[in-house]
Amino acid sequence: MPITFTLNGTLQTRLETISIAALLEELAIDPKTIVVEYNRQILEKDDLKNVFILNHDEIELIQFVGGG
Amino acid sequence: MNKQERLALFQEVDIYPVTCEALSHGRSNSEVLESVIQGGAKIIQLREKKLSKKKYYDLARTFRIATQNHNVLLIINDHIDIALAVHADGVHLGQDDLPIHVARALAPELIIGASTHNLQEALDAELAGADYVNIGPIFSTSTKENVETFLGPKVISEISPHLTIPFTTMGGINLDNIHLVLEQGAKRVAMVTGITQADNITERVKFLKHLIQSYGKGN
Repeated sequence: MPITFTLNGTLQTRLETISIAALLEELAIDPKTIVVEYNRQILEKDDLKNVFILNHDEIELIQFVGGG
Repeated sequence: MNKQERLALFQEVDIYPVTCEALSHGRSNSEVLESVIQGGAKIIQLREKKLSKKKYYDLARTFRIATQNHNVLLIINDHIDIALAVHADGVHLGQDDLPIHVARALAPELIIGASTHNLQEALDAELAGADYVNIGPIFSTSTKENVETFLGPKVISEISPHLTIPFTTMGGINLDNIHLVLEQGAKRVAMVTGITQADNITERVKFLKHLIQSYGKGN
């Protein structure tokens, strides 16, 4: 079933659900160095592969780049 | 706060900012303190190696006021007399400072932290009455002169299973390598320049807290 969710504030649509870990892999983002907020909760690294995105989820990928 | 309350608050510590005014991009220690408190740090260590006793004491007093107002633990590096004089929450001792059992006798209500560089030092510190040990330096660091050889992150998982007290890690840890210490089970990470040299210290502290939390909770 198609799902719609927001990724860093941008609306995304997919044909079917995907785990957060797989999404990060698609985006070529290393989960070790980022914080994933899933519906405003910080996701633990071990949970990334078990959490599948649902309709209307809000996902924030927080990276810290540069700045000393 | 009594010792029990202090230790309870210490359990909540994730990121552990340590000051060094010379490496704060022109910002004063007090500015850095304000920013780390805003970022949600539960602890700060005042560490200035080159200040006179009087200046250190004055600075420690201002740190005590700000930290107390925000329920943040204040740890004083090296100087147990200053820690006691300003009613700080603890003192952090190096291998060349006052022996831990002596500090413990002088300050039964203070948190006592100890810098350790190998398993034996860590076990000795615990036995002598330390409340936490720091394991480090994990990586090569610029904030300490004549520093011992760095230990590498694997030392964390080699030492920590033998401890019954909490441990912190420090030494050359920054945004690029913090995940390597978190992967080894570190839950409390001390940092100087990774925080003091950030463009936005408050945001950096928030991010680091969340990153540590994302590796799971525990001791």
